[in-house]
Amino acid sequence: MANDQLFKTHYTALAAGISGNSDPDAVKSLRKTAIKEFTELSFPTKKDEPWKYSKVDGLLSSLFSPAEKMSAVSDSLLTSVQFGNLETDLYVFVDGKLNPALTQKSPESSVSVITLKEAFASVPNFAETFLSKSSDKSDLFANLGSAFLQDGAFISIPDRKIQTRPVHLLFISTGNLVQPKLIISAGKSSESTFIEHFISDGNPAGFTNVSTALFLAENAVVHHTKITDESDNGFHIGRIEAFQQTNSTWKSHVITMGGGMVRNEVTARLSGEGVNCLMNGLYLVTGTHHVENITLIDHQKPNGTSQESYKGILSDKSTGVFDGKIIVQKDAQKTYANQSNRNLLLSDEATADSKPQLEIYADDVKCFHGATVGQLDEMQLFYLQSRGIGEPMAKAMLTHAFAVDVLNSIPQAEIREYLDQQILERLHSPFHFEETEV
Amino acid sequence: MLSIKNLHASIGGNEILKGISLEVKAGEVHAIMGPNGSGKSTLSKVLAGREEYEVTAGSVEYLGKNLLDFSPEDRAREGIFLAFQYPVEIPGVTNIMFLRTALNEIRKYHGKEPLEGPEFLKLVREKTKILDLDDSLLKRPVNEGFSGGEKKRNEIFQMAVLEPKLAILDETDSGLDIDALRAVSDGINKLKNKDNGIIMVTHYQRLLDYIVPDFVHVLLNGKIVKSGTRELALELEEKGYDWIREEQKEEVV
Ligand SMILES: Nc1ncnc2c1ncn2[C@@H]1O[C@H](COP(=O)(O)OP(=O)(O)OP(=O)(O)O)[C@@H](O)[C@H]1O
Ligand SMILES: [Mg+2]
Repeated sequence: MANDQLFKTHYTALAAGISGNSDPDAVKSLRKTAIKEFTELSFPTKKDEPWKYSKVDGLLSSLFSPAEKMSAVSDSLLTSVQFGNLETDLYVFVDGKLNPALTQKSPESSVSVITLKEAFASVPNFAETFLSKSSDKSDLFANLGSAFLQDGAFISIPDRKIQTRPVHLLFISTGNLVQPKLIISAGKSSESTFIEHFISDGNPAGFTNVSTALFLAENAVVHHTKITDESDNGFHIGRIEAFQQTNSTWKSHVITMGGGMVRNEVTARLSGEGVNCLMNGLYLVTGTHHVENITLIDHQKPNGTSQESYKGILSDKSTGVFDGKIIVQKDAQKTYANQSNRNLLLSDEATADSKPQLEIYADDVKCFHGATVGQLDEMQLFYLQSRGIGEPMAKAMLTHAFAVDVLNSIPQAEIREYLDQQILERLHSPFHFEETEV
Repeated sequence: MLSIKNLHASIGGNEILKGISLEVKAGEVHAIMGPNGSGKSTLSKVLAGREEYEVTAGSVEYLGKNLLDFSPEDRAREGIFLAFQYPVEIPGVTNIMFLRTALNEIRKYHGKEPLEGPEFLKLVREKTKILDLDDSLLKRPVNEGFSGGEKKRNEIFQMAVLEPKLAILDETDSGLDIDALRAVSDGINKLKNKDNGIIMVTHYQRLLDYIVPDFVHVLLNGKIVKSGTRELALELEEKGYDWIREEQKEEVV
């Protein structure tokens, strides 16, 4: 494939230009291995299992380069993505690079956020502890990210600290190759909330290729919400992998609202006993856009529970994919796993592919899964209309009702309301969310 | 206010309504009775605008306009209300939000400002009292997990808030306990005045003790075959429908 070659040549040439001479040897060798792997791996095709329905091949015809300098960010853009009056620690990454001038942080915060460069220099054995665990060594895009490894952040919360104030990690793309790496380390019995929020400034073409690794120590609780709302012309590939120690709880929400081609890969490794994992997702796809969600829940030890619910709302000529696997390994007795994927098609020309999979190697487990693809219910629609509610409004209400329970497990009402409003806007809804207190 | 002439309607090629004619004047209460499957709910839904049914002949005039030209929502905005025989469950939409949206959509149609939270709540409180409706039902998703009786009560509660001109009540009395029947009847009677019309579909005389109809019609096999006054309902209660079927046969012969 000639394009494949061009793709490789373009990105390896750029990766060679990364200046990292002062970085630790472990980091340098990691980049080097990644470049090698990247060159040797072939571009995924429809024959490769988790890429069957993928539309990443658009990346072969649009090549991107890293931003040359850091762009300014307007106040109005920053204001537009606040979660109502919710106070957060805000960190703004422009084209993947932290802009410290825009940081807003409470002095009482227990969460520390430093750049990767700072982490290389100051955290002992950083590469060995946090960079080599990741399982994505055989993945082309993961290697592409590692080949450029320098942007992003190392985020940590100490043992036993409870931080209710959410940490808002805002990634603004101005239309370039953007490849941040996030590492989140949650100490024993700590509790914290992170929002990874991806937006574009304007409507540029760009390619965001982001990796997030989370390390949850014993009894840690992490609320993690990723919002993808980038340009219609953009590509977004995101990998999230959580390593969960004994009795830890990870609540993941992956909300995709915008982007021309979005691929979310979400993996949970339940590597301790009694681990809880919640994986919720919502993908709202319009126009000719495409969103794919590839999830993996890997139950490795006994007494773990996982609850997964992904919902897709597809309109116009959009396409959505859910490919979700649950593995229950031999040791993982008394596992409870429940997976569901439901899709709502708002147009005859939209399509949803769903592929739930269970692989069970233990015998004493309770596992459930199910998938549906359907339309709005005619009787419900008629019932609303028969009360005077116009058809567009009635459709918006039902669509919203379909989506809303995915958000219910986000602890902050302000974030739920923000997402709610965004969803309604995307549905071009004349209906506005307004609760009446009874 | 409502004039149905020779109405025919079918679904999936099956004709269900086979020439219905019915005149309802403002201030009147009409009861429609008839055996299972005779077409009572079909008539109700056709009047409310359910598009699944195809009207193949006949006309329906409502307040001087051709009702069949209107969308379901516009019929509701023009004052038609159907209390469903089987109210629909809508998970994810709270009863209170649903009702507020409906009321404000209707107000907007008539060029009125939307009711704000406190005013709306005041109205709701008034109506819940009449129907003896538990507040907790307001916060719950529309009809979801409601008992049969609660669903029926909720229909009449909606009617009380939306204040329609023509109410079509499809077996609203079925499945109600004695107290609920009284509460629901109170709700219906509150709507009764010289400007409004009510069509009640029922199987039982019981409801007609509370809400006295001006006319009683018998719907049989897609046609209104007999009309009378409240005495007809008493007669039906006593004798069933067979004698009417016999009468029909004789007529045909
Ligand atoms: N969607 C449909 N498809 C096929 N037949 C239908 C459909 N809806 C109604 N019918 C048929 O039309 C006939 C009339 O039904 P309808 O519900 O109007 O009866 P009803 O008089 O209200 O009966 P009940 O007293 O049991 O409520 C029935 O034979 C029914 O099976
Ligand atoms: Mg019926």
